[in-house]
Amino acid sequence: MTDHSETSVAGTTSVKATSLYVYGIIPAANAGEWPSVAGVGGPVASVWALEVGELAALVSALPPDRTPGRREDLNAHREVLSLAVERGTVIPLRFGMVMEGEDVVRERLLGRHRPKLIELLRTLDGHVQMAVRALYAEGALLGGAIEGDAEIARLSAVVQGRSEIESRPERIALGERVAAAVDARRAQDEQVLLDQLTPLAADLRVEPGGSERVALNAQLLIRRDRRVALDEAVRDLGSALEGYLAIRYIGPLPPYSFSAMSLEAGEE
Amino acid sequence: MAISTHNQGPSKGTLYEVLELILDRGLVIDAFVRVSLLGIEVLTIDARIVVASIDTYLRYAEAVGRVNLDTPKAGVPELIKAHETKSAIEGAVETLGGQLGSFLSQSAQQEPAREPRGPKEGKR
Repeated sequence: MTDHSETSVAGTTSVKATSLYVYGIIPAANAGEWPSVAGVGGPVASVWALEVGELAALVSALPPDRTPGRREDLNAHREVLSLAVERGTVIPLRFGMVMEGEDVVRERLLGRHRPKLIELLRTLDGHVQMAVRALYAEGALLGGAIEGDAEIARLSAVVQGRSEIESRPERIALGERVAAAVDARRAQDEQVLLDQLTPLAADLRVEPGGSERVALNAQLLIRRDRRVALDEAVRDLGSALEGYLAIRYIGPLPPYSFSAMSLEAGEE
Repeated sequence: MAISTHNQGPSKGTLYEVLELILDRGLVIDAFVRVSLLGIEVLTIDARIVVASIDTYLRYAEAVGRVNLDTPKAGVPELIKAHETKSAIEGAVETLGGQLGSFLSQSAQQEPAREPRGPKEGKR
């Protein structure tokens, strides 16, 4: 066996490597003038680009006993990646990636996964992520869904003025029918919204709405030079649907939804 | 004409709005995850599951009583169609408007050119 009493992998013996918080990966070509901004841990934790070949990881030093998780940490993560996407292409890492020292970042992130990372950077090149959410106005979904449904009208009349206990079976039947109508209506609205947006996007993910009032929660990967067209389409949707749906349009975001893959850490 | 809705560019979004992306998307290497999430905002991620249950039905049944069943309600398909027709008419009017029409459409075209700056102004 080789002698490993002295660690001398790259000539340097890092007795206690500094923990590094890792934000994302950018092409080394864009790493040159990375501005020194505050990262997770505040102004003392300045962000810099650790370059290996054509790749660079955005990192900042983190005290070894420090576990990221506070609101300001989340904000720092977001701010750094938001700056990165302003400056060019970036693969955002999920919040909370901490590696023990530069060698680990070099070998187990940039080195080991080099082909995959280069391929992903190539796919994302020239693109940003935009989020489009459509939220029903108060009562709009329900009102629209039950309109013209004779059975709902009938059951509703039966239920009116009777106590909940007395009319419980009818109430459940009514509610069940309303729920189905609401689901159908929402699905239809979602589809039509998607029909408008999909042609503009390079890629698109529909996420769960998270609330009964959400008609659509979509993440779009969009080419930077098509942003103007998307802005216009969303603005048009906004005015067409005013009073029925409110559109929330967020971005440009780092392509979080299109970088969602899990890499292997490999052996030490 | 609808001037009010003309300027809606994208916004940077609140932390809450992008929280799920930050925590649940993006590249991950399991061995290096080190987080200790504190604070209530994280809890909202688990609170989003909506279960169709008897309670939901009863709540709907209750809500139906408050909605006027006779009011016709246009959905997304109808609203978009109506808007497209309206835009086409407006477009035709602008073309006919000659001088004024071309002035209006020019300034409308210049608007998006400034877009890339817009979103960043919202917050520091």
